[in-house]
Amino acid sequence: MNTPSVPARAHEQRILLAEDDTQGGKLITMMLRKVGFAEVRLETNGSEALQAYEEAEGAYDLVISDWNMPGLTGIELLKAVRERDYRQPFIMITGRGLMESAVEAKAEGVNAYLAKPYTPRQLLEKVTTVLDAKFEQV
Amino acid sequence: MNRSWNHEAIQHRSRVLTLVAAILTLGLMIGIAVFGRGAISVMGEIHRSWDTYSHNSEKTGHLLQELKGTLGYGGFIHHFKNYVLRQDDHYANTAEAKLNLADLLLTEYETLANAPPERDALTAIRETLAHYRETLIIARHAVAAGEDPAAIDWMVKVEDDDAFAALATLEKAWQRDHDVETEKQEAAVASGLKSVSIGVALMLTLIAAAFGALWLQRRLMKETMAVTSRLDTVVNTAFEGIITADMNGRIRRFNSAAEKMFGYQADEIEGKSIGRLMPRPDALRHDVFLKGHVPANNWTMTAGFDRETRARHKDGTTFPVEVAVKATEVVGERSFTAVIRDISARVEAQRRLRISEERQSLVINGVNDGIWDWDIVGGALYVSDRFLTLLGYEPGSLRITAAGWVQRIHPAHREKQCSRLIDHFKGKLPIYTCEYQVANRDGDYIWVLDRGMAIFDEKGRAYRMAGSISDVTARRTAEDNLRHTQKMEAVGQLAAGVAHEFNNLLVGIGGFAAMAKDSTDDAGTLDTCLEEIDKAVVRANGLTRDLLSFSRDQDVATTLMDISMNDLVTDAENLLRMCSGGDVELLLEPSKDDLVVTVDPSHLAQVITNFAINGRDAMPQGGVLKVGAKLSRFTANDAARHPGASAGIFASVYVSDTGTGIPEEVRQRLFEPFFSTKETGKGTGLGLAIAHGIVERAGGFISVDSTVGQGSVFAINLPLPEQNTTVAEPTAAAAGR
Repeated sequence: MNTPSVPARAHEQRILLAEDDTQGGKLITMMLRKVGFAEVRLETNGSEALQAYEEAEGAYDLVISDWNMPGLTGIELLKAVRERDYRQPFIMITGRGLMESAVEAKAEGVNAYLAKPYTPRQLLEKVTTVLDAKFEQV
Repeated sequence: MNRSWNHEAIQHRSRVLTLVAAILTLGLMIGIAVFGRGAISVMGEIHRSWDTYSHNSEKTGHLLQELKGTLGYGGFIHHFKNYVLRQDDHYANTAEAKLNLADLLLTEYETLANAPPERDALTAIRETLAHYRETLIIARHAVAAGEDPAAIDWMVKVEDDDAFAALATLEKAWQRDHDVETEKQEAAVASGLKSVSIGVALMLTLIAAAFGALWLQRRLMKETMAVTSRLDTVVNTAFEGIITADMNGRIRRFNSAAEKMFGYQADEIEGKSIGRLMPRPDALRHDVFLKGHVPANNWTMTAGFDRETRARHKDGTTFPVEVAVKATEVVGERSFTAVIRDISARVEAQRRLRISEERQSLVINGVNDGIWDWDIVGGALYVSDRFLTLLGYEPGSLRITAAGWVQRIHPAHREKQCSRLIDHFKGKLPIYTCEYQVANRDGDYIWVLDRGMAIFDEKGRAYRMAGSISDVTARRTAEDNLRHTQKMEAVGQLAAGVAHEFNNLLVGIGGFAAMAKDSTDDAGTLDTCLEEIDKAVVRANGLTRDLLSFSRDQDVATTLMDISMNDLVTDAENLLRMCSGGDVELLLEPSKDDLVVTVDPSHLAQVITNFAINGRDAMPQGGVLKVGAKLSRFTANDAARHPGASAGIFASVYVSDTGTGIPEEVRQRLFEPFFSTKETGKGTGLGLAIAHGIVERAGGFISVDSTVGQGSVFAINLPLPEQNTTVAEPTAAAAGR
């Protein structure tokens, strides 16, 4: 199996993860830390995630959010984040797997969309694509 | 004001009679005075005439005696004879004096005597006296001449027989006059006295009669007054209007009741036409009638009894009356007396009764319900036409008895129906209500909702009961269909939740498996990954168990089992967690009592889930959702607030929220199918309707308490086993409907 591509500057980059499912959260956290990101912060509630995002004052390079969450749903969190920074890289994960969800997320300006069940590799590819694209943009 | 009935006339007559009696008495007294005075004057007259007579008679008698003395012995003759014999002048002078005296007496007598015989007698005496006077002169001459006395005596011899005869005549006449006069006087006095006595007696009789008449009249008047007073009282206190009119239709009397009835005062209507009291067309007819019949001497034709007609009030409105008219003739005075009864109230009552009966009839025939009326004691059962058509029979084609009705009830429902009825008779259920199946004419079972109320005697025994049955087959079928739809909807919701959960598991298993593959050289990570995979498998196990529990036998049949309320609550937890989420906090409040009920747990879980979804939707800003079990006591008042509820102690499962609350008008409609306050697409409006059906079939009821702005409590209240004599819905579903 090929080693998946890793974001070029992962060791400098910080990630905010909002995921209420404990196993999912743990999996993503473990995987991204293993890749070597400077920080992976896990929040299990949408509103707490937003709070963490605001406190960091734009320090997160990427936000990864589940769609179904207490507090704020993923789409609500996305909207809130977009109000503060319309260019903030944002990956949406959803178990709904429905076309409408993807369309809605795209409409709100999500950078990538990932349907459950996903593999760690699929997630990392999305993360790399989004972060490297950001880097390139900069 | 109403005048006294005939009072014045009687008083007037009485006064006249008193006056007449007084005049009579006065007349009598005047009569007595006049008559008495006349009698007295007559008596006086008699007395005076007697006096006069007696005076004359006495004088006459006295003159007669004087005359006799003057002429007789010792008188003229004596002295004359002595003169002749003794020739003494003294005798001659005395004799002459006697003669003169006799003349005087005669003259006086003549003034008193009028009758011719007396006058003749007086003349005869006077002639004899004149003869004596002549002889006295002769005798004087003879004496003077000295003549012999014998010669002288011879010479002077005078024939005096005539004089004495005349004197006798006078005396006889006097005596006769005296006798006649006395007799006359006596007769006059006797007659006068007699007439006076008769007069006085007559007067006294008349006076007595006058007084008697007066007394009689007074007594009569008093009695008449008493009678008329009583009559007045009767007339003026009568409820009926009593009106008297004369032959021209003019009102003469108008009593108090008539005043109230017609709005006129007696003073203002008396003397006016009776036609004023009738509606105009009637008044005209009445006039024509009177004019036609009264002159034709058919005047009594106008009388009649118990005639119903309309009368006219002073304000122009008309009202129904019952009239009895009597034509009377009292002492030649003809009049009509009408007794009038205002029958507005009776007519109105009859009208209302008729409307009420019509309405009842319309309702009984118009509503879709069959009406029944059961004489519990006698056993007779009346059923409406609709009742029969509901069962497929022609109206009137079947006689149903109470026992026959029970035979028609589905065997599985008889016990429930009977038990409900007994509960109602015992007062446990204020209203008997029961849904069950009965066989119709074709032998097919239809669902009916049977409702009724009994009437109890003083000992609390039901003796009559009435109610209605409605065909609820369609609703039952619809409910079944809706329940199915709801199930599909729930399955859809569940599928979404399950998919989400399942994906999470797959993420865990797949993710950690992939990571494990990449971490064959990292024993720690590998272990972690395998542990996580194991956890995911455990989670997957739980999920499948919940799914199985949720879907257990739902579509096949109702499965009754004894189950603890607390188990119901905890079993529902996982489903509830799927329903909740967001800012809704779920709290479980198990009961400290072990409340065991006989229900189908999956049905109950469906109801609880429904309540929980509603509770969550009522808290868009988040809140606390509590699900618990407890023992609830319902008083009769509490029971009255919840449809289908009865007083008693129940095992309850409740779901409370801290949401928006439910307004009362919404609360009352909550269980109506398709009644929803949710926006389109968010609810079918069937959830609570189905919940209601489920709980009702379980023998319980749903209670809803809510305060706007504070939240709501929905509770399923089920009978406790020891109270639950009714086994709800025992085998109907299981019997393979």
